[in-house]
Amino acid sequence: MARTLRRRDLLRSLGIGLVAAPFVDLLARPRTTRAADGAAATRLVVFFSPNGTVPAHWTPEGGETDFTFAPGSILEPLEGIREQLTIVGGLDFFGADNHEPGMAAMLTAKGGAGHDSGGMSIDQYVAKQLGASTRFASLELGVQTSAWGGNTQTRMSYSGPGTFVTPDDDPSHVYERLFGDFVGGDDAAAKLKARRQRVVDLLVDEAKDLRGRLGAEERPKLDAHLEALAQVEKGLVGGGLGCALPEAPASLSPYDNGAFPEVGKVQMDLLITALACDMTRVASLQWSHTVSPMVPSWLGISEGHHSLSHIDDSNVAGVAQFVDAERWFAEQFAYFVDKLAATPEPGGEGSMLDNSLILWAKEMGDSRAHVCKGVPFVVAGGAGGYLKPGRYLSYPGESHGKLLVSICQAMGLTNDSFGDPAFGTGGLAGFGA
Amino acid sequence: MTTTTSTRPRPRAALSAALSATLALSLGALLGACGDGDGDENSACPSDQEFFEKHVYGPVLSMRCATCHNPEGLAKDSRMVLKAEGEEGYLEHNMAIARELAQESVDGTSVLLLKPTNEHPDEHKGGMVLTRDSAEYAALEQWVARATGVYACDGEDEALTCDASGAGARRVRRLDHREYQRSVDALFGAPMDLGVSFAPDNVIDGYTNNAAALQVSGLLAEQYREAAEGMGDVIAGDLARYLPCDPVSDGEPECAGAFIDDFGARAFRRPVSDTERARYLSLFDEVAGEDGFAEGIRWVSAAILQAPGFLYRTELGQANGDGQYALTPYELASELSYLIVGAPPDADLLALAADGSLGDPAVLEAEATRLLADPRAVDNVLRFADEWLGLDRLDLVTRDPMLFPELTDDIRAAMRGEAERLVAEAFAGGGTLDELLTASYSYMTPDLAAYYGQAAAGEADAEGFVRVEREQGAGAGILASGALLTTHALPTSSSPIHRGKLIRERFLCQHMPPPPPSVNASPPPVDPGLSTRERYSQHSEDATCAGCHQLIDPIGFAFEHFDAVGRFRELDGVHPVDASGEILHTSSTDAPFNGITELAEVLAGSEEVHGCYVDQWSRYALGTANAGDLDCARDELVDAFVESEGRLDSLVLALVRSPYFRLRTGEIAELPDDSGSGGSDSSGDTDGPDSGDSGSDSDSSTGDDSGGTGDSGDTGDGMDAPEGVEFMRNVDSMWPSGECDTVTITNVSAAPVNWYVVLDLQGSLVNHWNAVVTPEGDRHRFVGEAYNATVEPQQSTSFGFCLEY
Repeated sequence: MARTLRRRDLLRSLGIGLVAAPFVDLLARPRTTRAADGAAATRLVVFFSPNGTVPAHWTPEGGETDFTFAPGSILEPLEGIREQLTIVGGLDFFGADNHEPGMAAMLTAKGGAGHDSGGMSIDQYVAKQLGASTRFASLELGVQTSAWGGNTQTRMSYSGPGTFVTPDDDPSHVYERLFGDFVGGDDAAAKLKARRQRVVDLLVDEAKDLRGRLGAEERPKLDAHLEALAQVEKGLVGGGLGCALPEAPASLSPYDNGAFPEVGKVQMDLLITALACDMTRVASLQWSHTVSPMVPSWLGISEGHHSLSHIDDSNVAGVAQFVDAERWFAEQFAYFVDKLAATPEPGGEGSMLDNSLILWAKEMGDSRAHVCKGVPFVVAGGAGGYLKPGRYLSYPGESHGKLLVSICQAMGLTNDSFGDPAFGTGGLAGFGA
Repeated sequence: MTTTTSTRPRPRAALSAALSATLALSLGALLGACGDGDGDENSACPSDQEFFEKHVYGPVLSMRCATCHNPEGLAKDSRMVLKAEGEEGYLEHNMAIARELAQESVDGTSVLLLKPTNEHPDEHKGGMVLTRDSAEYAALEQWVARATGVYACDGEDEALTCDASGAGARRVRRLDHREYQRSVDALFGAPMDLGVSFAPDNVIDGYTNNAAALQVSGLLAEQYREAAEGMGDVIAGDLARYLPCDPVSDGEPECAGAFIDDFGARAFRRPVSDTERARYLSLFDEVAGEDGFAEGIRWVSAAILQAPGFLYRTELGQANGDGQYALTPYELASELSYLIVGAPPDADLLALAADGSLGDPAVLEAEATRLLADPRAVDNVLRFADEWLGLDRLDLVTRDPMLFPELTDDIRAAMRGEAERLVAEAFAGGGTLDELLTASYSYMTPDLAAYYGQAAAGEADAEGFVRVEREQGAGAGILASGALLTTHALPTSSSPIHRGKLIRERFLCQHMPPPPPSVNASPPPVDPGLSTRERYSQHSEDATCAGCHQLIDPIGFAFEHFDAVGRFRELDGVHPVDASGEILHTSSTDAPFNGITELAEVLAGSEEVHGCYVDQWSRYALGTANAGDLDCARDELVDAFVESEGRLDSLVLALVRSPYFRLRTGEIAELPDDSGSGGSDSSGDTDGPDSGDSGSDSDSSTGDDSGGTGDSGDTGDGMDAPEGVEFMRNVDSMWPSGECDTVTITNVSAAPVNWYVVLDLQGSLVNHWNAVVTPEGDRHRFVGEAYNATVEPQQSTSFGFCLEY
């Protein structure tokens, strides 16, 4: 994996000029969808880990700025990035409890077609506003999310009411998708793009014909197909990667339980490269899914994560194993955040982390009670100056939809509600700097 | 009115009514007694009671609610306490409750809608058991409208998607990932390594082939592209093998055309239309012009393999004049072949489609019988069993290697082989559900037999499996298989909950809700001082838990003789196993038993289980979970299953014989509603019904030069149209005894025009679309349908028809 991703150096090293870089002129923020001025984040990443938490072992001690992580607690592995964090506790999912409803509400706040957010999850909503200028409006990467196929348990990202966006669990395919075009030099790549474009044009004609033969009930299938072809078209590039081509990942078995940590690390590295190359500004990394059967065997644990998450306090050893598993996820989050902090903002100032907002989300609060009350969130990054990290905020009883509004505002958007506005409008007081 | 239970679509929960003559009679009498003039079974507008029974109680209340909302259930203190089916007056009682709750609302929404979606301000203790986009929710909405007096019957029974004769909805089905793989294998005549695994599809009720869920996402479209380009490389790399012609002697463009016809027809499972042919040929010309013949073929192949014609199979049909659409012979060929062997139609089947004989029900059935004997039919039924019973997770479930070192990958593979043989044996040669459930035998390799602690002597098959009489779990068929027992257990122990839930959901078709919020759902920790049974019994003592767990755990206890990895045990730790159990709160399956052999007997003898099996198989075979769709062929399937005493293959033949298999109903394409429809693009709208359905091959349709053009006024050659209208008649396909044409109408005037076209047809009109036709002497006058009657200036529309000479 390339370590240094300063754009000008990389462009030079690949022997191609600025003109050939497809995105260089796109770094300017799209003005129309953003607030006229003010600090805002350039990119949004959602990081998910499953099966709620044990509040007693998650909650930081102390107040907004003097908070500490108790030894052995779930967030203790974040100590090294404490000053990059905005920890948000106390929020409730209104109108949702339990695994599947929590998973569905986590990033949508139960929005529907008639609401501002149109039933989209926050990543898709933001991508819709900000994704036009990048090769991928958003990227969805997963770590063993789909062995059970797609359903309410295994999906968190929604492009509309009830419509899942599928994460890609296979690092080899992710690599192919991101970097597979960059072979044989610019001329070859340009020709390849032209050919693929020509085929897409033909496929659009074919799909329109089939659509024309369908009744209203079935047309959405072909509408979705045409939208998919539009996404394929957008992802076609004609040469000029603009950053170093990373090495292809070693072949991994995406659904081998023991490979979970390794698959996760490769996905994180690929995602950071994609962000550094400005292939997208909105992404998600989903570790497994609610009711996850993943066994943290690499920690010497032999019980499934879902079972671990429901162990009550009378089983001290069992709870300790769950806390270990949660600390491991915190370590992964810290790795991801650290790496973004170490990557200079391409063509800008500071680190990529300074201009990003990374949201670690969970689908429940106390998993032993199957409730979505007091659901823990951790935000990392400076959001382009919108956030003043190093704080622990608590909003007991408030709707998490307000956090999603605040995140939209941090991304420079101006919507006043996210999800079902019946649960409240506006952002969280004091969330921004 | 008369009520004939044999033709009325039956409520799913009342399956026993279909199976038991006495109950069927009493049900008939019940319905007969409520006749109020509009309750006839074939009426488009059922009475409230009929609607309640068929669409509210059957698929929703009995399936989604009654497990908790019963006199002893978790929700026994709620206002909705349902009487069990068969209890005296249960229907009236339940209907009264449902009406009362329907009429009560919070902020304008009925409680009956707020609770199951968990949107009620006080929440629903059972969580979300329905989503708003489900068919069940739609049925509740209509029930609320009826109960509150705002329902206006518009003649449509909305919850049913088929018409009275059983014709289903017109639809397209995207190939599922396995069908895709088998389709490319068939195209290439060899297993094809695609080098990419496709994004998993949404799973509905456990099945991965649900037609509504199978859509193309951006990610999948990219993966399709990757796979198709890879296959294009394969073809371009070995042209001699894949071309039906010689580009040198036949000429390159001609050979490219022949390749498109040949490969395209096999990929699309029907002849390539002229429009399609022109598109691919134009792609070929462009690429070949720059980079030569082989590159041209490469990109044409890659395009065909990503095309909707390859990725979707259509069930659209041709209008037969009765408001129904008859599936074309090519559509029937695909439907039959994917149903039975999970793969595209072979050459024999395509030949029968080409000459139209597949439209003959006798030929169709003969082909069904032929395909049932194909070895691939067994693979296909295995896949159903995988998804029905969750066996496909065998490779994925994690077991503690310290506790179960003997469960090696080889043993898992042998368990897989065992399950495959049990299912294949039960399916082949007239096997029954009873046999699948109660077989005394199984198939084991020597290693697997040793693992089970079972003697295995006898003749081994090619893969080393010996048929053995089970010493343990004898007479429990698939229930005693290592694959089923291992997939339904926990990493460190057996799981009465998982195993009981499997029986409830997959054999009794009852939905079990998740534990309600705020209940301590902690699994009982492993405690050497207690048996698994004791741990779970204590765990479920809590009254809040007992309501549901009494439905699950006592069934699961029957499996306690089998550990987490499928091995028989007399002792659970140091505790003697107690495998006694009981099924409670079903309509006809309640019984006590000891161990899985007795459980298997109870299940095998239960009409409720038979009905559930029919439904499970239908979900897979029809690719739908929608109760309205499933009802279309349900009578035929249930009757056949009962008549054949549970033969598994009886369902296949019954489905093939049913009207559902051949007929579709529903609107045809509407007015092109936006630029995206391609409707105003004359080249894009010329196909009409399946362009391949009537021609023998596209070569014979090259007579399209005979297409005529016309403009304003009578042209003197039998064609006529109003001022300002130009039209062009194009022969899309022609065969010895007929042809199909498309006529494109263009408004060349400056004002909107209501068009008509009068044509002198050389043959009898057998079919037409996108126009209304009236005979006019020897000629036919075509005018637009409501949706395309008016054409704006400089815009076009089209209609089509088929003739028999």
